[in-house]
Amino acid sequence: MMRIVCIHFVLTLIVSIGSVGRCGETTGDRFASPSDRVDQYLSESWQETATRPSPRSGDAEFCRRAWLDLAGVAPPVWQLRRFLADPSGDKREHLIESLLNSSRFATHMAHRWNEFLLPAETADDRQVDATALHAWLRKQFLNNTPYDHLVGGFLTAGGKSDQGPAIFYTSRNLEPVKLAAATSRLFMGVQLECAQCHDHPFARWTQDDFWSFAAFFAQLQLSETNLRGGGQAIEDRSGAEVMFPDSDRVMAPRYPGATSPPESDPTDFRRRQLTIWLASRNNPYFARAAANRVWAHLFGRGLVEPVDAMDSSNPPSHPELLQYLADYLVEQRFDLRELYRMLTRTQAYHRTSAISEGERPRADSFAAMNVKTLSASQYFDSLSQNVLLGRFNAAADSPQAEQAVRGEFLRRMKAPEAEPSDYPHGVVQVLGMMNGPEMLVATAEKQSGLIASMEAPFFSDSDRIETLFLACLSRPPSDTELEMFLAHLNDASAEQSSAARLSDLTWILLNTAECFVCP
Amino acid sequence: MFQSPIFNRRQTIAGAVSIGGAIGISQLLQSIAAVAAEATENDQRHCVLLWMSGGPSQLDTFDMKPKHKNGGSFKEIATAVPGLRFSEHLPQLAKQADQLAILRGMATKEGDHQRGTTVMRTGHSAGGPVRYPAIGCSLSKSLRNPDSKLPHYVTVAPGPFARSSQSPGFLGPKFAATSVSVSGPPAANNFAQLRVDHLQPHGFVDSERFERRLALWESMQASYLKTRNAPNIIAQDTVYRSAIDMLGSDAKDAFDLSAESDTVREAYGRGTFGQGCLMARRLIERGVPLVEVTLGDGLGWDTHANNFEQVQRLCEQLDAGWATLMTELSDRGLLEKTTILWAGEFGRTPAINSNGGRDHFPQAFSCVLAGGGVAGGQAFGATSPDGMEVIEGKMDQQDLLATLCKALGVDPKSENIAEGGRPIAIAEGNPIDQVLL
Repeated sequence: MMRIVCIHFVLTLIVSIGSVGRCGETTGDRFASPSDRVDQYLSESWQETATRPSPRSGDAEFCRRAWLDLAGVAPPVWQLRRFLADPSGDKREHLIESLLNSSRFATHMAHRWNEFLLPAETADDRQVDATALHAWLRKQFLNNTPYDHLVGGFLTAGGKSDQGPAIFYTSRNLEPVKLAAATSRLFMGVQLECAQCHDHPFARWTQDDFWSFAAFFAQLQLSETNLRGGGQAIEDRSGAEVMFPDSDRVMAPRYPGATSPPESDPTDFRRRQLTIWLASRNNPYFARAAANRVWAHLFGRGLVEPVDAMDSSNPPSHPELLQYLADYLVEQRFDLRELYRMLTRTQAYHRTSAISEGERPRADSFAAMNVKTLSASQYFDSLSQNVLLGRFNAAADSPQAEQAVRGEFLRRMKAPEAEPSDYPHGVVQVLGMMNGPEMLVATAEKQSGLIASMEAPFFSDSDRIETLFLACLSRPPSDTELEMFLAHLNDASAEQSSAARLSDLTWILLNTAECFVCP
Repeated sequence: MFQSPIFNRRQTIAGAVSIGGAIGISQLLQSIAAVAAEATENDQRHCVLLWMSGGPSQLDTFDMKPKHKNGGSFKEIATAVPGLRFSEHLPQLAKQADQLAILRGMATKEGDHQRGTTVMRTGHSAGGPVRYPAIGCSLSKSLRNPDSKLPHYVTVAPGPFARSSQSPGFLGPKFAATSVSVSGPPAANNFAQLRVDHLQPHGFVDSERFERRLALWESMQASYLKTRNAPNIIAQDTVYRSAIDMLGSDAKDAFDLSAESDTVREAYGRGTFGQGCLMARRLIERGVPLVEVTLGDGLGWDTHANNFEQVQRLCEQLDAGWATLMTELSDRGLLEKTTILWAGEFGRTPAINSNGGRDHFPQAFSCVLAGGGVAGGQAFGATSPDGMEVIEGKMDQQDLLATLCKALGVDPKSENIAEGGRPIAIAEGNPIDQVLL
């Protein structure tokens, strides 16, 4: 364990210099206060460019951020009120802890990984299999399965018991080329497939590297067992091979960059052969890619961006920090939750995303928090929880009605390859936001759960406005905002019921840029 | 108060009508014609991309080899241009061959659908550190009219891989395509239903109330942007403002195909592609610079089996939609301002496989340019008698995109700034001057 960072890589590792330089330190020193260490790496980088970091965020901003990042949904109003009223100094740590240990975290992680794992164009009729994958992933995250085990299980999955991962393979038609491409992107953060037709233009991969990597997936077949519920299972059978293009050359499986073939597997189960190297600390790309993805999740962009282009032509913004995070993950035996815990305790994660003076620091400086665009499901689930309040279909009040509208919303707003630093929607999607069915239910006086809940006579107008802000933006209104919104509620020139006025205010808040982001 | 050119034109028409009684109907018609001429006299150029999803067969459309065994079962027919011959399934386009320049020497290195699509639409291979914008995004940026209430780039029923290959890349979301999709099954009259949904505020919100909402929304946006002027926030605000502008204008009528007579709709073809071409005409009339229409639901041109049956069916749609679009644009004096590019991600193998299909073939295939700026009535480049290689006029995707730019009066070398301050030309290839006017 002591010498993890000094492991002699078979592969040339571009960024290994930083970690080798610190081999003299003991592991204990290096990982004693990891969150501080992360902040130190960042502040060193700011000195060179005289970048001024933004101050610590307010409690409301932090609460919205932590909930959306870790639970995938904005804080429920009562939880937010309780958090804001809590006087204790360590309440942020408590919040993170309770979120990380909640089943919502597992669900949200499963949701994120489902999106990474499935091709953007997965047909709608594959829902049964997509749900099976989600359930499989959720179980892994609930148990906090170490990441190397999770990926190993995923890569060797087969047969009925492992139905979940099957869709990863079947949605790519069991084609070795597609599977090699997806696997290298997802778990190594590199685009090996660029070497499919010619040696990689930007990195060191050769065409041989790609095709011998693809050979690990040569033997996949659909299992003949029919599963209940219409799902599919896969298995490996020897026989099939991958050929080098336009030749008779059978490609033997080989790890990318390695010169000799891998140790043979007793039953020639090639995906197990692959996993032994791929999902391990011996694969220098594995932990780096995982750490970079976790960083991107919390900070809105990767230390290498895009997260699946970790090539020599696309260097990290903070090479030493990235190596440190990768080493930390290995040190923690690939405990992802521990990496989340450590990173959410950095000062960097607590900085505000607001810049009131001077220029906004570069997004890749991480000197201010980056505002992250919500995914379609984060937006809808927050709306559902805080505004619709289960009142979805007044005529036929049923959970199915809401599920149907949710499905329709996600289809409309689908943006599978979008980064959180993009706003991926166009005019058509925005028309749907302003005038669509979910906004109708959120703002129609007779239907909106939130508006109905505020009819109670003991609410003052200020209370109502505060509740609206907490529900939609996860913060109380500023004095100016309160004044403006009160003026709208009491505008004598317009003939409107008070419910209609509240409807206007709800619509306004739900369509602000602020409501679309994790601050 | 600022007035848009459209508004000015309307005023002129209204003026003409009010004095029409006094000056007689023929003069009135003349003045309307003059107004129409003025409307088209502006410099607005347009581009229509006809995208053939799946990779169309050059040997069964624009580069026939009837004397060779690779030629297959289709016959060729004469066109309006002596010596230039098309497939028998493109009869209407054959009549307008004087508008078309067939590029028979296309060759790229990508034989995979997704990467081929990206190469053809951005000019670059996917996967590098630079996020290259799709050509439609770069061109709509160059051609846009900042005063227009309509989107600059509308794409009808985009196929798979649209998000990666149609992405505005480093240009940012402001230049993303607005996508119009098929909403539900064909209507009772059997026309494909192309619609932009949610074009009206909710019923209980009248325009006065909508205005009041917007006033307060504006101040919320302004104060948030003040402290969070990040690209995604700016983009959200920009797209919202475009959508709000569109809601408040008549421009959105462009999307309403039911305003057209059934005869016209029929002429374009009832399918998604035909109705998409009709929408393209309506959008171009209203000043939209770039419209893309996709043919081949999913990867329809990916004819690994039963090539001939499928290509015939696709050609019927292609012929009706494209030819009618050119006729109608020409009637309105708009064809000379509109450049059309017909392309897919690659061509098909000359050899016919055992399933009666043709496979992926990027080594030698055809694309077509038509309309404004294009020297029509010719084939540029040639393939060998078996169709296996380009023997004359070889060009790649960069040359194609550069030629398209030049036809539209856009300098292909004009640069946009990528992330990190790196200037990137719209297209790096050499324009083929022989096919340009």
